[in-house]
Amino acid sequence: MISRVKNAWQWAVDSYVLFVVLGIVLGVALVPLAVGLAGAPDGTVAVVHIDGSITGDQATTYSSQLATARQEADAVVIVANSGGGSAPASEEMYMQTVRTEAEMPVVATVDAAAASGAYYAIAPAEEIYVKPASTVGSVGVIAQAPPRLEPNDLFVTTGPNKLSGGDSRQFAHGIATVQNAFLSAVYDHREERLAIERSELANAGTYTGINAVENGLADEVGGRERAVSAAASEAGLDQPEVVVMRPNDAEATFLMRSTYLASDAPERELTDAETLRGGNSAVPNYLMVPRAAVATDATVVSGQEATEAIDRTDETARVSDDAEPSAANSTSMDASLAGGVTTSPAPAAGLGGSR
Amino acid sequence: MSYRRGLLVTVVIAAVIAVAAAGISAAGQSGPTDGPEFEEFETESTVSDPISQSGSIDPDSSVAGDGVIVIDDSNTNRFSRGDIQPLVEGIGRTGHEVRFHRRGNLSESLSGADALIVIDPGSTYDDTELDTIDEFVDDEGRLLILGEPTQTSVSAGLFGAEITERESELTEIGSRFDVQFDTQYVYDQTTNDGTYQQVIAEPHEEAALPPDDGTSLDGVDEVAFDVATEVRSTSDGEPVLVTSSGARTAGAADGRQHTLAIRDGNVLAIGDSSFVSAERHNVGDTNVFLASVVEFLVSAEGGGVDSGLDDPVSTDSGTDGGSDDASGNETDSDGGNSTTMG
Repeated sequence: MISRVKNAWQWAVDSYVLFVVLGIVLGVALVPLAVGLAGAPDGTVAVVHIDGSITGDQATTYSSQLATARQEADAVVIVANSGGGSAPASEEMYMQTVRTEAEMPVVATVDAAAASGAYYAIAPAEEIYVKPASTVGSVGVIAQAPPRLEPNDLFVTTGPNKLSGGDSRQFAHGIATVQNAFLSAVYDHREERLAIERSELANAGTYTGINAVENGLADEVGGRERAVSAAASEAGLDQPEVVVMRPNDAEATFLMRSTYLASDAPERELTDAETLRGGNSAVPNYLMVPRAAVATDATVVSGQEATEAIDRTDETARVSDDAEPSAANSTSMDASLAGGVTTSPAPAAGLGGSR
Repeated sequence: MSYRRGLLVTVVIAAVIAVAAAGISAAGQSGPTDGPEFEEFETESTVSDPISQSGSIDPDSSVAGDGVIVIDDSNTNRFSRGDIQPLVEGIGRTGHEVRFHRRGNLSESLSGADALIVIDPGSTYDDTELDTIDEFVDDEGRLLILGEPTQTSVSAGLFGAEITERESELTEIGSRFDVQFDTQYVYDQTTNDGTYQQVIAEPHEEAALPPDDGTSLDGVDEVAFDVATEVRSTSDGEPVLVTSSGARTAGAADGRQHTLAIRDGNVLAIGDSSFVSAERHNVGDTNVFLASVVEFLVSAEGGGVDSGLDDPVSTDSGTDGGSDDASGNETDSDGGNSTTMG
């Protein structure tokens, strides 16, 4: 019996029948895998949103989503619809974008606005797509100046700056340093494309989408689909799976009507600017928002209103009985612009958003 | 032998299949990766370094004397003790006396004076005052005008936020001496001390101030302003301090060099008053420039000019028992119209 088996095996080997059979078996085994590969996505493009004003909550969510994308996706598209917000939160988001862009293609697209801190966050993107009506820019910093305080009988301090935080000149150089970081970030990532001088950019103007393409703050006019295509192309993907990383139970809260109207966030709310502006504090509150975003109806006074008020009462005019002291230059603020605040739930775990 | 060869081939093929399968499976997953090394910010190039701040206003000893410098405080002039203390101290170092004119006849206050300082007036000078100042300057008295751009500020008030618009009423007095003060502030995004409004100016080419026309501004490279406006001459005024060519007037599209200090004979006009304050007078070379300004003021050729004005008007004695003045002294209560601070 054993001899017969050995003879048959010998025959199979000598006649190459064994190899033919093994080839057929191997081929049949791999057919399903080959068929599956032909029809399956060849990679993933993750879509991350910046909705409303930027706060620590949103920065944390954004950071978590990008960390997940770096592990599970091949490219990232950032959809920006925000007028900025907290400066340190914006800086955190910028750093996360830089980190992600170092590992995979990152493309941004702007809905209603990517102003100030929101533009900061998307500046490292390889390409920025905008709509003609988008608002882009406002590369600047606003800080409510700390009140001038002197040591007094109520507070005993160990140094002259413990109460005041420093003099006005020190404060000016502090905010200038924050601004330098912002400007340098934009220039580091877009210098070759910018057709606007650094000193002009420092004026913190806002531009429509078309103007932004002309001055190099954005690259092309295009929406989300084009941004996804560009990201996939840069990642070498022919059939990408697009995963939208937006926690479904998040409520985005907006101050900026244009971003509120343009938003597709499942839950959204339009509120006032108190969260950003807050009350007086001896600690500078650095904000990266368009200038009007720190004001509310009670404190915003347009130039014309100011003039009329002054005309009414000669030199000093009362604006509001319950208004608080506003940030510097608030008299020229435009009430039509305001930033937004986004409240975000716990960061999404994995690419589990809507598809 | 063939048996062994066949067995070997079978094992090899099986191994290839296993490795390939494992490879395909692994291709669909990627584990955590270490982030690349990169630096988001270069701190050294980002930090805004203040220019040095030290020193005081020390005029040259050659201008020492016992003359009088009058500071007008009768036209809602907006300054506090801290705003002018360094300048008053600098004048005091020359031995000259500082006198504040608060009410009454200006010609009387100017009698025997070397110079008049006008700081950010909130009300206009009437024709009599302008005639008085005009004659004073014609008689070789020196005039220093410190203006401000129009500023709208918001502050806390008893019943809420208050808006106050401050405008230097300098049109009439400026016109009288062929100098115009703009109303908009000048800013410079590149040459500044901190933020864009704190522009840094430098002497204009061969600019100099009497008494030493050739060297008075030696050592002055950076004069730091607070919030300044441009001053322009409608006659033969000579620029003294100018900004960089990148400076702009608020609202203007193009950058250009702005004149922030200009001299026309015995008149020196500067588009900022707060840069002489205790907080800012010695930023960069500002104190060196202000020393030259003091030398200019106390070196009037007439030296203790007798105003020689016609028909001086009787003085409003201001017998209100005295009030605090900007220098912290009190006005005399014996019918005088000025305060001295030597």
